[in-house]
Amino acid sequence: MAKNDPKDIYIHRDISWLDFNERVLEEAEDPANPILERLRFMAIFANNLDEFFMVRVSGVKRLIDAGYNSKDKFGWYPYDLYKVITERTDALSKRLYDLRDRKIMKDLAKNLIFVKRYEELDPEQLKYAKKYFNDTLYPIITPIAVDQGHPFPIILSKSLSFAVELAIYKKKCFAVIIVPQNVPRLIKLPSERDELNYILMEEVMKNNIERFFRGHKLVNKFLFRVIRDSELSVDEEYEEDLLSAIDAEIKKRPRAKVIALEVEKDSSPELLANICESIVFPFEEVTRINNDLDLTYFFEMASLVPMTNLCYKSFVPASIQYGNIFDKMKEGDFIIHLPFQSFKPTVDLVKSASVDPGVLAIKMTLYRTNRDSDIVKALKEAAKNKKQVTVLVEIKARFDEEANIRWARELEESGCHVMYGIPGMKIHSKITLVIRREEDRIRRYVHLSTGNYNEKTASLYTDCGYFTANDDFARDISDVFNVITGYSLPSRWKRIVASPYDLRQYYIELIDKEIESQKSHGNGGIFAKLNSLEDVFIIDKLYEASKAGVKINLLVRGICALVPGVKGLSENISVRSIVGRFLEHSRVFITNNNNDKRIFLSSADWMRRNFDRRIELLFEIYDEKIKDHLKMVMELYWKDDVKARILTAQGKYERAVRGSEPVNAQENLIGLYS
Amino acid sequence: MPKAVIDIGSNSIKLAIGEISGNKVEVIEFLKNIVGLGKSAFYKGVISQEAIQQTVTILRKYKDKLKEYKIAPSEVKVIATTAIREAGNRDIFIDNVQRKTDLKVDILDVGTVSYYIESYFAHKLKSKFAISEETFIIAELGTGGLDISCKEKGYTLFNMSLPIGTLRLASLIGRLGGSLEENMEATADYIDNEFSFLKKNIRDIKIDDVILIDENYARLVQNIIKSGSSGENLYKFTSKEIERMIEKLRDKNFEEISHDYKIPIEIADTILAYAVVLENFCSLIKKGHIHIIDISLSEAVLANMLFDVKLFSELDDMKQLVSEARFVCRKYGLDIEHPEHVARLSGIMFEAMKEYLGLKSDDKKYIILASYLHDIGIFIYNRSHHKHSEYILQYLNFVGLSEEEQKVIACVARYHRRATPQDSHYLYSSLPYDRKILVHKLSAILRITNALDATHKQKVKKFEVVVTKDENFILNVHTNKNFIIEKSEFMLKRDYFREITGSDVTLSIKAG
Repeated sequence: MAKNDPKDIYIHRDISWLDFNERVLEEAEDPANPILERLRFMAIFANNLDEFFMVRVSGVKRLIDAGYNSKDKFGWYPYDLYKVITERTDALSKRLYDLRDRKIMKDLAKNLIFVKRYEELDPEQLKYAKKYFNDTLYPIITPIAVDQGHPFPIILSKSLSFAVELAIYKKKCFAVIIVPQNVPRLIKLPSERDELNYILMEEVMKNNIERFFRGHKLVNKFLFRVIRDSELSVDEEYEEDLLSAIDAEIKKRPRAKVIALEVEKDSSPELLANICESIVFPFEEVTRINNDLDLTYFFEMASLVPMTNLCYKSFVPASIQYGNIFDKMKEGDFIIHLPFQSFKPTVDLVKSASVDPGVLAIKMTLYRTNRDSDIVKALKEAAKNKKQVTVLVEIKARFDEEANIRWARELEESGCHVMYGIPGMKIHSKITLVIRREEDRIRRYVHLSTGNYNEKTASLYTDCGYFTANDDFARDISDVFNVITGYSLPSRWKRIVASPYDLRQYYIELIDKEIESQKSHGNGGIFAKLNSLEDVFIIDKLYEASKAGVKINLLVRGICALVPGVKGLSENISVRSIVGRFLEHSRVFITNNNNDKRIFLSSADWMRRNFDRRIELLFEIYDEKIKDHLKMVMELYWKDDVKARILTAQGKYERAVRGSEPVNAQENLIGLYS
Repeated sequence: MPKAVIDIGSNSIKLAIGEISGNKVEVIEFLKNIVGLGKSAFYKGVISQEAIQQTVTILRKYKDKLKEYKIAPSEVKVIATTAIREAGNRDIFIDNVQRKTDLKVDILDVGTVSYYIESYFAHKLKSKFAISEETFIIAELGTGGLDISCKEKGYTLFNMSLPIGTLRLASLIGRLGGSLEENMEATADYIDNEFSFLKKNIRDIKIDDVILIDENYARLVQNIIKSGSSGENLYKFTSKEIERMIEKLRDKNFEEISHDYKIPIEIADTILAYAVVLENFCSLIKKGHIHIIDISLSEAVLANMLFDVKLFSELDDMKQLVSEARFVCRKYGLDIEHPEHVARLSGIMFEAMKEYLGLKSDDKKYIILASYLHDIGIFIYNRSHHKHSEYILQYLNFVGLSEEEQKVIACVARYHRRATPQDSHYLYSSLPYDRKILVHKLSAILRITNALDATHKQKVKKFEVVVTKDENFILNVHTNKNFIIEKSEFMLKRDYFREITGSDVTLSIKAG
């Protein structure tokens, strides 16, 4: 094997990501999963793919358009990559729609759930649909004529629109009708039988579209959807007011370059050519879809169908018992493992701090949070109670920028000191610091997490939250806040390691120690759990460790650019990916350390961006009880043979072979904590 | 309750907030920001307005932080060291800072810096290190300079500051332009040369140990020689270990040093120079160690504030100053007998007369130091030696004495002979009114006590001062020696005393 050709030793990150999304699709295909959950997986798949286009494909296209023709770090030329990506995405999209047509709709029908076409409606339903159109849709929709005096309207990324061709006398005219985004896409229809019947809003619009053009002959019509480049191009180095800059950049998004155009299969070529010209998109690259553009409406549908028997068996996250969160933290460090355990202690920490008379200050990073977040409410309350509240809001959190700007302004208005990050860096670490004056001294309480302060995702993502009142931790975290807020330069930290300073180097040194340990004692070992592994420095170091004989087990849920099991390169490395009910999100790193294991938690993946362009934290767990617990959890994950896939030396993912007693780690963990 | 120290250094401004936790200082917050005050002060002589504004901006942020912990202004100390000490426009700097931040800056002299280090060290090691028994050097390696204080049995012998701070060394290495080896050799020569001034001061003094406070390199020495840690923040090295360190660093370039010993690249270029500094310190000690405390000066000051350490609580402040004065006499080759004798007589006169002359007890240290050091100018030249004494004294560095206090001592010493204070005299005229009056009174006393030992033969066995009903003074001198020269000198000096105090002074010679 030519080891110096990156293409031979790395899997391209974009191709690996497509592999991941394929595993998501496999979950939708898996008949063992409840039907509404399969709908959700389809919606996740579709949404993931949209975002992939908006961020990654747009980037590759930009390189091609600029005439850039050099290999990337994985050994790929932009055009070759684009070709492979589009072949894969076309095939995956086809698989998605095949699944819908051949399996999902039939399985839904078996459960008396139907998404009807307009022509399938019974008279009662037809009457309802027409009335819905007249009363709800018609008043809020405005067709837009497109001619020399009327420019083509701005079509938002991911929105649906109709292209319409009219004949006025003998003259052809064009118009566009944008499908409204402020009404539910799925309309529930009346049904006399014991059935659940739905119809898509655009289906109702399509069949009543003549209503908008009375007196004109409607020649052609079809539904289309654009996906636009969503990368923000804020030159942060020179932007003093990052908030305004990001805000302005978001406003430019509706006009950003179109990356993909999806249309209904039977669309008229002439009208389509017209649309392509108007939005500046190559006709030959148009994706034609048979019925229902944009399957993300399955999210809505899975929530609307009131049949819990068609969902995963519900469970109540286990709670930790305590009277006062501060007393609990003083008793000793503890972790909560989401979503198996309740998120409540995290919310309690901020809530209690907001009203506790002894609390002087609260500091927090917020990367993504949910609407009506109790944490945000508590921060506002704290500011009202004259606490010093500092919130570091990462307004550059992708696809959450607009939401983040909104609640960041709310926080500011309530008196919180809101900071918007560091130019060129994303604050990805999840940290909270509460400073409290107690009888004899100042005490500080710290919460660190692998996941976001988001009450919604806390029930869907697996994450570890770490609670501590340890002074060394407190001082380090206090310092991190001072650095991020521009109050100080970093100093020497005792308990944390941070990017972009020395996180990558620290990992490399830890791996080096295992190589040494392997050479001296024959027991080098690494066990890591991550979302993505893409940084070539780390990959090369892992290859080096493998060659030295270090046994490396990696649980990488998403992108994995490392090729395991290759003789002479990575034969001591095994990679597994778990895609299941919950999104695996926790990052855990274990070294054997000459049989005295060291365990770390982190907010960072092993990706270049996490090491170089983000503020991320890694911290070691010293408490033996917590260490034992995390070891047990990691071992359980490794034993999973229900949701685990194994990455082969050929770069393919294969399902693990089930043993006589199959292990589904996530389901086992629900049982373990309850 | 937490307290705070802000340290305005040559290369950075720091804020340390801490409180007592058990018998330790718990530093709750430690903030650091780079401001090149040293660059401005050392190379241009003044601190630029831009650097002053940067300082103000940082101090305002630090005030936010103090607010966060609800720390009252009375619990905050703002200190400044070399850069501000050496800046020609330091008054402008202090005024700007005070007006714009409401923070009062205290410029620390070398003696005060060493006092804080010593008190931290004493507090930290308590009984383990017999400070009051040993002769040792205390030093602080800052970015601007190396502040050094030599101590003997608990008392300071002398203080000095060498211009070999880390910033200065880095700048020196940067501008040399030679090969790596040549640069290192030249830097070592430069450091050796600066140390030669210290060695000249020390001469016959046997140094037991060296205590160095340094927050940049201390912990990194261990990466190179894998030994030396003797507890939290404290490192202890022998001369042999430092030699070994230099050997290991000698033939490596900065990248190799950084890589091989995990030294941050930004200080890898000066760590060899640092090792040469340590080597020079080691050359001063025979058997002992060099102790390095890995904390910042601000933390040492914070510890002092929190524990309210009084290093000399059992010792006399006056003894401390006398110790320094005696060392200066030794250094300038004066026989100690005459100054000691004059100081004894001055002390007696001061105590007897202070109430009548409107003097405060605290003024005694000025007359004592001036008595010890009035003849120091003879080191330069015998003629006009009082003038030489004046400028030497002005530039000496006494623990705990302000610049103005040193000026008072210098003036009192100057006016022990010849002309009396006049406004045309530069140093005298720079003093405020009350200090000028003090100089008159104390120099009047010194003229008399110096006259009583005019022959430098210490003829006065016993000395008493009697106050008459009409507030005149009789000096009872008990002696068996020929006292006519002393008497004649006394007669020449008494007029000035009368002129200043309005009281007459007479001499009564009695058999000893």
